[in-house]
Amino acid sequence: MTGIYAALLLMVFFGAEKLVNGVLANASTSAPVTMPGFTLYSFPYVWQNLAFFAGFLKIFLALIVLFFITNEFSNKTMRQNIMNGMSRNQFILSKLIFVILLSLASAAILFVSGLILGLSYTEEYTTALALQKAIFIPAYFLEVLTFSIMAMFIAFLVKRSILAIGALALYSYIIEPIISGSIPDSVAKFLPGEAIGNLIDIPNSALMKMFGVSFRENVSPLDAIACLFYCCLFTGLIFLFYRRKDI
Amino acid sequence: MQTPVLEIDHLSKSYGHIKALDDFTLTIHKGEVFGILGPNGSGKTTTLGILLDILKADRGNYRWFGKLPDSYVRRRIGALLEQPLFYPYLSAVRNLELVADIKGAKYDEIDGILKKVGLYERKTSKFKTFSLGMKQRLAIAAALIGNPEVLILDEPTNGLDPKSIAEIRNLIIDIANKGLTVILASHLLDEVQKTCSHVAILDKGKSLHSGKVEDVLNSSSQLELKSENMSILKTATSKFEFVSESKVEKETLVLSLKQDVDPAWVNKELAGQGIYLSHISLRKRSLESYFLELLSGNDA
Ligand SMILES: Nc1ncnc2c1ncn2[C@@H]1O[C@H](COP(=O)(O)OP(=O)(O)OP(=O)(O)O)[C@@H](O)[C@H]1O
Ligand SMILES: [Mg+2]
Repeated sequence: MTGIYAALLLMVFFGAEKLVNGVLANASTSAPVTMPGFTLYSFPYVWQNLAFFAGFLKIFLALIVLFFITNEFSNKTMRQNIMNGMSRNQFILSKLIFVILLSLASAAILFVSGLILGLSYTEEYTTALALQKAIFIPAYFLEVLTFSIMAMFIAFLVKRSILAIGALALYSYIIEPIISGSIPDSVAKFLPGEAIGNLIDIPNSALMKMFGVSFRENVSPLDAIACLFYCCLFTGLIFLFYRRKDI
Repeated sequence: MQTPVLEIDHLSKSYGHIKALDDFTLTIHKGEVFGILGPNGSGKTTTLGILLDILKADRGNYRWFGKLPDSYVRRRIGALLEQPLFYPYLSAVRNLELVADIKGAKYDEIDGILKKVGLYERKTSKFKTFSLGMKQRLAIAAALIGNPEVLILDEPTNGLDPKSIAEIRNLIIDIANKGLTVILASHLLDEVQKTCSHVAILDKGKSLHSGKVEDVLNSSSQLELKSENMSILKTATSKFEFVSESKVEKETLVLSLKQDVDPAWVNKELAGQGIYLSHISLRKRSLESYFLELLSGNDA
């Protein structure tokens, strides 16, 4: 499953430009003005572009995490591991380490792909230019990490895979939108789902500039702090929850 | 005296209004094979679950080797609770290696243990391809990893064929002879009688009795007597001090004894009073009859 995820990630990275240009080419045949074809892969924009597209795949990573943990409950292997002499905290910690490694691996794939694509699609570059917007790599790491920890939290809470998937979807698509609709935007943007989503904004493109819309080209520290806060909160709650619970 | 292996001190646990364990106290010493005997739902698995920290008691506490429990102490205990639990998609060996990792044991003991439980030939098969009996054997193998000082076995012969049951029982007896402590939960009276040195009898979460199996068997022996005139016989025997209870069952007088007596002495004594017995036999009561008696008392 992890292998499939890595393959998907690579496909998105290497296919993104063709896809976007294909859509644009289709659109331009019917549009009055011809739209410029453009590259997603030139330094330094490659980092934000790839990170943004990869963001759509974080749900797969979250599902891997979710199954990884609910399996411990359906096979009751968490029970056995604790009986064998793991402490409850060690068990939770071992899952957390897995989640961190998985997120690191995703970020590593992003880095390597970005490097390869950037080097081959940028005509003139310097190291400084190449790494100018490399902050999007750690931002991407934080994005998938926070989302995966949220999935881990739900999995530890609900224990059954189907219920956990349902709860994750229910929260992301129904509960959070309702809450965020009924409170001011300045607060709503710090809800977990929004904070995770805001971390990496939609990349600006020539096309969007043509229409006069502009998105953020950097990472807001506040979003990053909010994500880090949720990572700690969810992890802390899992530890707390399992102090007195039957397994 | 040596510190006990396990001291259970007034443990209670409820699930809603069901008292799964009610003020349970017990002490187990090194080398004892301690049977926890009780009907279905009496709280055996609940007790063992608490001792292994997968269930939390509402009240009371317990000490392993004289210390308040932590995860390190569990590495000195091999446990099989209720059903074999392994990663289904991993091989038998790989599963045991994971257990060894937690226990801090070396991998080289695994082959020997697999041979002991008769799974060596299937060691590379995935756990999910095993039959029920094979899974149970693997669980026993897992419990033996890391030279445990205590074995906790919850219905270890569940799902095994008669030959395997005998093998596993012999294995338990072997282990006990090496001086290990075994805690065996079972509702099979015969199993407890054959393998255990001590027994605690549990019903509805309460301990009804605990002590040596031997004492249970001796203290509760009975004497059967028959004679032509039963009423004279009854009056005569009621004068014996060692009789705790007498009743007539199928035209036979059954005396429950407070202590061991020699049937020959009884025969001679009664003959001296002109009562000639047509039948006399000493019946060692089985654990089963004692168990059933205790339970019926608890229901009342
Ligand atoms: N998770 C649970 N939720 C609610 N009640 C439970 C739970 N686990 C056990 N019980 C109840 O606790 C009581 C004791 O159960 P336990 O499993 O300890 O019995 P047992 O002696 O092991 O029985 P058996 O011989 O059938 O294995 C039973 O009445 C059972 O219904
Ligand atoms: Mg049980």
